[in-house]
This record gives sequence, structure tokens and C-alpha cells, in this order.
Amino acid sequence: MADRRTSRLAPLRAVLAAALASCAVLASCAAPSATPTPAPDVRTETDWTLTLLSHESADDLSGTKAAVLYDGQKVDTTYAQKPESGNTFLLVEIGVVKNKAGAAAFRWADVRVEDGSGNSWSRMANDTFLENFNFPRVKSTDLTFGTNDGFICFEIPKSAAAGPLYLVHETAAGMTRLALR
Amino acid sequence: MPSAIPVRTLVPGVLAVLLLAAVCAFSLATSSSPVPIDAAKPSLGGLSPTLPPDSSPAVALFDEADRRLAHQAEVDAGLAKELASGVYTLDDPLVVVDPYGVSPLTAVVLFRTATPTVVSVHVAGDDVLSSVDATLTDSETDHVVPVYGLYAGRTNEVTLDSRDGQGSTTTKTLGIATEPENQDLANLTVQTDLRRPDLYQPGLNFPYAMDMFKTAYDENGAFRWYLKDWYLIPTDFTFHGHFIVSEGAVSEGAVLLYEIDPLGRIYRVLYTPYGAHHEILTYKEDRLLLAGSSGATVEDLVYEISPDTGKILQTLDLKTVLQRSRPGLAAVDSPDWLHLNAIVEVPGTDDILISSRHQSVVARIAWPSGAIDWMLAPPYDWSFLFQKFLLKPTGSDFAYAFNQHAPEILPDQDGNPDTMDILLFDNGDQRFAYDKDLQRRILANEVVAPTPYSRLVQYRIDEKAGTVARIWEYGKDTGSLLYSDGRGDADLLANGTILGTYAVTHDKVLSGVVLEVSRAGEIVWQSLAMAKSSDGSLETYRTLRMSIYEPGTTETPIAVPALDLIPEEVLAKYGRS
Repeated sequence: MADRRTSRLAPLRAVLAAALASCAVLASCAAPSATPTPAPDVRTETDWTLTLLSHESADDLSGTKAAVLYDGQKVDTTYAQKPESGNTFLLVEIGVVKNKAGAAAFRWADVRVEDGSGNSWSRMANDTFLENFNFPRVKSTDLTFGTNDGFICFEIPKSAAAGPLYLVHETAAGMTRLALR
Repeated sequence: MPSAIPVRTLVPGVLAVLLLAAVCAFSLATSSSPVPIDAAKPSLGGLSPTLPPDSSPAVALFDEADRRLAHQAEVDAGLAKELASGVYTLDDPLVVVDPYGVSPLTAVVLFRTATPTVVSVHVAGDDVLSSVDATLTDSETDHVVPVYGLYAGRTNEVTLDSRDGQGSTTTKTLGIATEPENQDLANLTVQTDLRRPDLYQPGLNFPYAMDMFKTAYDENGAFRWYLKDWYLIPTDFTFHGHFIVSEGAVSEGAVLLYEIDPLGRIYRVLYTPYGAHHEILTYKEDRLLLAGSSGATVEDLVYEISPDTGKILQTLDLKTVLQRSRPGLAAVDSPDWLHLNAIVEVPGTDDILISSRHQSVVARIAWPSGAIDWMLAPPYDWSFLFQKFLLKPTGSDFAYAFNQHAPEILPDQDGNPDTMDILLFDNGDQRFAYDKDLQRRILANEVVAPTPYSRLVQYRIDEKAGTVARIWEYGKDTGSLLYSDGRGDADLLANGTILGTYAVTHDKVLSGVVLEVSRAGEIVWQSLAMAKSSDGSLETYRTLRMSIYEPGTTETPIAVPALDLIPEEVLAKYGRS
């Protein structure tokens, strides 16, 4: 639990103070680039509703989180996360809502980010690091239930981040394609 | 990937005392006028807990509690709606991994049966010892089956048996995938050495502290449970199959106590203004005793909370019980003069045992009066007032414990109703400090200072005769290898082996060592926990070996809301309604 103070993203979860095992975390995010007009959104599926809440690219993430040790001493834990050279983190805040009981699971293998040139990227296999920077995060196991709001992370080339991007969920039952920019 | 845990400066015991003294002095210097937390309650015993000058930590606690409870209510309502749909069967159930978002290695499985059935759960382990099994107590048609003890980052094989009243059993095997360990947990490593599988007491190992985490790991060192949220070290893992975790102030200040199950589902929230350090104890099954702080000193308060009402029922300031002014003790002029580190219920009585690290004393006292029955303590520097309570050692092999931790009362060992056997962790920090001749010769370079050591030791106390004898010990010859100056634990396990926990510092690096040893002193199993970060240090305290499914575990009661027992008057004092 920590307080993420990046201003452009949607309000994040409530935080505990440093007296708890928590404190301020700063995440440094790159400014989004200007983009051309995206293609319109597509929605043909009914089992799940995928909503795009916000998105941001970040060339690195860093921050600290405080913990209370056995003797009452508070120490800061420092976190840093960088993508591979030439890449950037694409943080996408989404809502995934199950529409009916018995629906098939929402599988992350069915989710991708596409650019306008036929390239696509899957969600990072392990983006649990988002929680170190206090991004509320949607878990990466299959979603089977309820309302799931939070961030997921893609690692994409910086060059792709500058162009049109789409968040796509596609199954045999239908497709949702949402323009990121 | 960079290391997540920073270099830590580990504070040795004496420095910790000084630090606490400084913190306390600062607190005193900056505190506002005392404001009774609840003047209407006579049970506060004349103590006047104060609101901190900065109330934001408490407010943040309340905010977080609100958020957690609201989220849980939403999840429970959603699960209930799914279950009510009637579309889920044992053959095609709804599996929700980590439904409350705080316990990644758990799941619930929802389904409906035509007739009431009792469900058994089997989580396949990498070997027989690491498998997790439970039979739940409920006989239901609507099932919300908790699944505990999954491995991280893999698809777990989980088998459910559903048995009806005629004894007919239907079986379903599921593959339940979990996320990789999060970055903080992945920073920790547990190495293990199982030497005698035949003697290993089955169960998972629950450290009270694995750095900031609440975790459980198996005999192979694999994490099988953890909470993503960080809590304070004091924990009660034995509250009717649930856990009591604490969040807030270590010394005097706001703390919230959460009763949770391994899913992280909250059953009640309690508030205390007295901080929480070292001990949360289920007392007489329906109350909680805690070690806390109040006023100018720290860690010398025992207090009792009703889990049913959230009321603080009793407090006992141990300055009114024990001798604060023992001249030979390094901590005598410290606010942390006592360092209460354990409270133990004496079965069948209203008495408790208390353990003081800085006074090297274990005392049996009446609760809540504080009347002393006996004291197990080195006989140095006690005033005449207290000497009559000191147990007299018997036997040539007797040696006092120094700066001990975690005493526990053992089941009857000798058939004698006049005796009580206790097992404790003898840290030995000041073991040689009272031998004035030895100290003189060390200073004169006539002898080399003896190697410190810690041990697990069982004493037999003849309460009628006022004597104490050493019955068993382990570790005297392990020397500095397992010397633990500040923390530790010793538990008798169900199969007769002893589980010892050591917080070992070598080259300024703190690691957690857990040993299971036989009565013959043979190592049955051992683990070494460290961090992967640059200095490797890791917090540790006590370890409990137990099944993650305690006897009597029921299905998850999603229709029962959590009890928020934070007193209204407390919320009002912090400007909340």
C-alpha cells in the first residue's frame, strides 16, 4: 500500500500513511505523444464488458515505500522498473465486468494491444511490479467474476507508442476493440 | 530487475533500546494534552491514552478499513449473485482466484449440489508432505469452498470430493492457475533441508514476520500463502481458525486489528489506542490479550479486548507489578525498561505468564490484578520485595535464561499436578554480564570473552515447592552460528519435535533460521530465509507450524458481513462520523 502521486492518472486506491507499512511512491511517467485520429471502437461481445479508463506510457517507474521494522524503525524500500532498451511501458487502466453468470472466463491470452500496422503485443507475463508503485492492478489470472478495475501493463516499442494503438479483446464469441489514441 | 529491498541498517538490541527511548522522548515532547480515549469506561484503569499530534495515521487506518470492508461487501454480493444463478455445478464450478484481491495463493470454488454434501479439498503438493488437505465442516447445497495453499505462478491441481448423507462421493479435479509471486515476495528466498521426513510434523510454516509479509511456506521452502498487504509483526494465527493481524502503531497509538481468514476475508475490525507489539493472544477463547504501551514508557502494558464488542476490558501497567529499578540491567533507565515480549494463558486459571526481555524474567501473575505467583529470573539485583517470588534452581545442569522470548506452557509432562513445564527461547544476550569476576578478567585480557549462544530450553517448575529444574535444551554448543540476540521462538509440535526460530545476525546481515529438532537433538528439518537484495537482511520473529486449514474450517460465509467494531466515539474524536 502506498500513495502514488502521479497526477494524470485516474484516482487510485486509498492509502495508508507512513506509520503503516506504507508511504509516498512516485512514478515518473513520460508525457503522452500526439496521435492521429483513431479508428472507431468496436464491440460485438456480450459475456464481458471491457472499458478503457485511462492509459499512459512510462519509460521508467520508480518510487519508495516505507515499512515498519520489528523495532519500530521505519525504512524505505526503493523500487525501480525499466523496460528493455527502446521499449516503453504502456499502462492501461481498464474495467472488465462480467455480464452474466456462467460466462466463459476472460482470458488474457485473448487481450492484445495493436498498432495500425498489424503489430500486436500481449500483456506482460508478470506486471505485479505495478503494485509497488501503487497502481491498482487487475490480476493476470483468468477473470471469472465480478467487476475488475485497474491497470495492466504492456511493454511495447517506443516507436509504436507514438502511433495509433488499440486495446483488443477477441474470442470466438466476439470482439472489443478500443482506441487508445 | 533491480533489487526491491533497500540496504537496511539493522539496529542491535542496545541501539534499538536507545532508538525507542528517543522516539518516546520525542513523542512526549510533542504530544498534546492528554485526551481520554473513552472517559466513560472505568476499565481503562486510570491510564490516559493520548491522541497523537498528527492524527493522520489513524485516519488513514480508518480510511483503509472502510475501503477494505466496502470492497469485501461488493465481492461477497457478487459471489452470492453468481451462486444464486444456479448454473454452477461440481462438474462445472465457478473458480475465483484470490477473490478479495489480497491473498494470491487462495481461491474459492462455487457450485450447487442437489442435496447437502460435505466437501473435502486436496491441493496437490510437490510431494506428500507438501500436499494440503481438509474436510470442511458444513453440509450444504450452495457451496463456497475456500482453497488454500496454492503454489505461485503455476496451474495447481486441486481435487474436491463432495460427499452426501448416504456416503456417496463425487470427485472433481480442477486446474487453478495463480499469478507469479509479486516482486516483494520474489525478493525473499527460503532454503530448506529435510533430513528426517519421517519425523517432520506435517503443516506449513507460518512466520510472524517474513520481512513485512505474512506468509506460509512448506517443507521445501515454497511459499503457499501470503498476504499482499503488509501488517505489523504481532499476529494471532489461532483465533478459531482465523488470524488476527494488526496495522498501525508499534508503541502507543492507533492500531486496527483485523480478524481474517486465509483468503484475507475480514470478519471483524477492532481498534486500540495502545499500539501492538510482540503479542496478540486469544485468551479464554473469547477475548484477546495484547502487549502494548501507554504513557511515558513503552512495551509494559497488557490489555484485554472483547472481540465481540471491541471494548477494552482491562489494562495492566506492569510498572505497578514488577521492579523497574534493577541496577544491573542496561535498560533500567530506558522507557523500554521491561520489553514485554510474550503473554501466555495459564490453562484452567485466570493467570497469565509474562515474559520480559530486558528484565530476563518470566513471571506467573494473576490477570488482571497482576499479583505475582512466581518469577523465573536470574537472582541478581532484585529488591527484598521481589526475592520471595524467585524460583530456586535445582539440579547441577540448571542455567538461567537471559533475554528470553516466546515461553509456552507444555502439556503435562510428568503427571504431577504441582508442576508446570515451560519451553522458551533463551537468547542469552546478557548471559555473562552478571559474572563480575569474568567481566573483570575479560577487561584485564586474562581470558577471552565466551562465545555467546542461544538455546531452546525446557524448564520444569514445581509451583508448590517454588523450584525450577532444567529438563531439556538444544543449542548450547551451536555457539555464534545460531546466536540470536533479539528474537526467537520455541514450540513443541504435536509429534514431539521442537521447532526453534532464530534471528541470526552474521556480518550485520539478519536472517531467519528455523530448526525442527528431535528430543535427541537431531535436526529433522531446517530452513534459512534471507532476502535477495544487496545486504540480504530479512525480518523474522516467531514461526508457527500448523495446517492452513484449522480443524473446524467452514465454507466461506459470504452472507455474513464483517463487523466494524471501531468505537463511534473514537471515530468522532478523529473527526469522522
